[in-house]
Amino acid sequence: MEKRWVSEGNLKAILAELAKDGQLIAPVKIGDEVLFRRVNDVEQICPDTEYVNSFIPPKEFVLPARQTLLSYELDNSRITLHALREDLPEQVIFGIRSCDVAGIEYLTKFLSGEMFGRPDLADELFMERRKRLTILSVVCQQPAETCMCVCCEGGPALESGFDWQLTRLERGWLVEVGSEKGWALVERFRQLVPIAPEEAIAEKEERVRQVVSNFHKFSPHRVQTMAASRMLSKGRLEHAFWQKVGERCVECGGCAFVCPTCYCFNVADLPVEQTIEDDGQLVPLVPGAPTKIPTKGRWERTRCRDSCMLAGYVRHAGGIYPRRTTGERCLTRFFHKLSWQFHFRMGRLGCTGCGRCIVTCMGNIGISQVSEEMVEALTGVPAKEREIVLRNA
Amino acid sequence: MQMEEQVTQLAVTACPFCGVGCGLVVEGGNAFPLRSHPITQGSLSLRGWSTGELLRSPLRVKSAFARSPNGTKHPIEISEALKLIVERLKELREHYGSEVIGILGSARLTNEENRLIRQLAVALGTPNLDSFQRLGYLPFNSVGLESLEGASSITVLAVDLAHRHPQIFRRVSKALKQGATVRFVDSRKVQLASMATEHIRPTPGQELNALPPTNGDGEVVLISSEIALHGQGAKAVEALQGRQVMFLTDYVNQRGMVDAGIRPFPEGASAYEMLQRTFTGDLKALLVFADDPFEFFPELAKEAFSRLEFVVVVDSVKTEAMKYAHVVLPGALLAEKEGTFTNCEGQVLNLEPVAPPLTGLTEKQILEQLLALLGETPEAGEASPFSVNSTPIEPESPTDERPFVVALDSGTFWNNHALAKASVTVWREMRRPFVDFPNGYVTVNPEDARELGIRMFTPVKMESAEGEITLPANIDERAARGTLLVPMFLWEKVGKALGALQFDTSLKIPVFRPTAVKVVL
Repeated sequence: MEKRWVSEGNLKAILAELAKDGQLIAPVKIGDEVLFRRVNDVEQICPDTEYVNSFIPPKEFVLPARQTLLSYELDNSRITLHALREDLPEQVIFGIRSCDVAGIEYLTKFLSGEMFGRPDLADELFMERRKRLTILSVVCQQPAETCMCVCCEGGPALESGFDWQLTRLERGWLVEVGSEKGWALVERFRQLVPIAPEEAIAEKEERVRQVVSNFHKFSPHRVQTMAASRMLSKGRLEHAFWQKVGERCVECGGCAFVCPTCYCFNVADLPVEQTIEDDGQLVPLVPGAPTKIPTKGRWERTRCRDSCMLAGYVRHAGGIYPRRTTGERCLTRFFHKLSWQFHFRMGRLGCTGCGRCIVTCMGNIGISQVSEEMVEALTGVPAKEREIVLRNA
Repeated sequence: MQMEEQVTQLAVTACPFCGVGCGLVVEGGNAFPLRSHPITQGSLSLRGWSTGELLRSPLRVKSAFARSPNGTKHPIEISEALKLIVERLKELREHYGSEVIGILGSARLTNEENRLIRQLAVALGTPNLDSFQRLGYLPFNSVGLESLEGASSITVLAVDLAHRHPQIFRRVSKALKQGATVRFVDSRKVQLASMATEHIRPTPGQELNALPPTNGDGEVVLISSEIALHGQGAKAVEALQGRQVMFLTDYVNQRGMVDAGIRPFPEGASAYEMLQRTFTGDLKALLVFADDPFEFFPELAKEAFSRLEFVVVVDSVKTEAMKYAHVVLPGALLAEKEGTFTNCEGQVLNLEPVAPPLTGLTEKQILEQLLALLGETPEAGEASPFSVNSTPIEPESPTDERPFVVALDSGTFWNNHALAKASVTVWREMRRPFVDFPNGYVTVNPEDARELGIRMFTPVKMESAEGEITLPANIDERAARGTLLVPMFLWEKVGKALGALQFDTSLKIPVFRPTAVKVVL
């Protein structure tokens, strides 16, 4: 596929044009944090050399942590449904990193129903947002301490999933176009994005090679995908292994909330307003033994982010817990992320190597730590030591 | 979206649950931790992650209400409500004297608001000022979180860290990884038990006797309200003198609240005593600021509140107490406020509003208006330091006749909390014990259960020297052999039945004395 090139000034002009339409979402630095926010002025955008990634995952733009699905009015036996049709804006996200792009691709594969070959089962709310999102990703050239995309085919550059993939070069940017939407954008700004010279393509390849090499030399974290996949796919890890991992889980759900590929949610019907006479509990709220069946009022069906690590998430009606302990729930989580079975169905690993779970985990059981413990279980030698041996050899 | 204005700082608020004081931001209506925040460092508990949900929970109180003569409530203007309150309070004061009025402050409010609540008590001339959220608070000069990170030895004294203070659990597990020695003194086999270097398992109530001597300068002792709730509070203050201690406060501003003077005046009643005084008619009016007496004492509170002549409840979320209220005023969440709070280290931290108050008013403004309507009042002045003397409560030990000890298990501490009920996922997690065990439960050790021949849900009759109660069994290795654990939300019921619920006259709080029982099947 032919590649394009854009100068720094012209890229700014393109972004300014997109910002004028009120479409542009870009990284903004506020205090010590970088967040993806809607920007009106391109000067607000944090240059890609000054941030690695935002801690708040950009999946929020396609799968918000909380969404209203529908609302209804109860009047004794009559139910009036109100469909919620939001006028979703077209959005362009610039500066998103490859790990998060891979995450959105993963979410799309599942939520579009493609994973089951059932497009009729697509999650409409997600798909509406996804269709309206244009992704202009920027290739990382300096991994952060917790970055591991190299281990998971989640970066630093990708083959697909983006509309444009931009790489900063010595002079200007290389633009790789990954979709029809991307080509339409090229068409729109055709004066500004000429065909890339051969040197630019070579320079990008060299820069990516450099990032990968730096990662291997300096980054402390790894996702030991090979070992993890072997151990998990064949169920070779003992119960005691998972029990030890589970003991460190405080069930905060953080790993799922920040993970670019986690899509689990909880659905609850909430009253728009409860009367003051109610007993100060959300009723009936969640599936399972409602205290009383409501007959009046306006209700909203809401979905909100959820995590497979929570006991309430795995609870079945009747008080049955198929995965009772945190250890068993850890097994499920890591099986979903790293096993061959899921790799086969989804076309990629469930981890894109963003490293957010390493930061957020209260019990130091982020994906790198657990996968390294799997290596230890497989070989009897701690991963860190093994690597040193290999490097010295 | 309205992002036009150039923002230079993110508005950081605090998680409104435990006392560690995690800072968080609300982005797109949802809470996220900050990597750059010195306490949070990118992690939150499930409760913290739910902070954004609270802002738009259906349980929020959205206007003021007054009770009609027929008992139902109707919305009124806040200014009208305030006038009504002042009128009624003046009336009661003239009729009965000011000591029939009680005031409950809150660890969910800011330092400034709690100071105003104390000012209100002085203005009304009542010595009855306290909060149910003071339960188990002990005055320690806590060390900072950074000393926990660099500690060579950590002694955890009866705290279920993973459930109660996950942010501290995180630091302890980090310290463990860096080679620190962690000694865990607790009868329960909770998550820290197998991770710790050493697990010392005394009978509940005997933790202080089993406390190993200090490990030198690099040692930090972690302690929470659990010791005090077993009646060993003052003894713990004495036993830990000279050691580096961090007292893990239960509620976000528990420490700040106590420092602001929300605790019984020497001549006044404590929160628990206030409820008891309604029975003799010595207390006729109660002003409840973001406190929830029904959380741990539902039976007593129900009796007491139905006897009160005048009840005012000011809260951001609906609570059981509002059912009995004559006037309800809407409060604001911490996330909607400016001000300060004091975390468990004793750091005074700033709060920035991440959303406007739902009704435009915070408790601070409500209190200021209330004070203005009351007119000229004497200055409250600074509160004197909080101190405790010796504890008279002796925990019971197992005997041949009564070989088991019933103790409190505060792992379920949050399960009845007003804010936990206002968020979807947190409440789903918190209500599990109520759904799984609709009739309550007592946790029995698996080996004990085998010997006794009991299974899950088998009714277990416990007989103490003073009474008996039967609860379904929950078999879990959390309970040590010979101990029976009662969840926090059954504290009052079981405590009353077994004679375990006692009053600690030093801390002025009710406590659950570990009590020896015989199990009858």
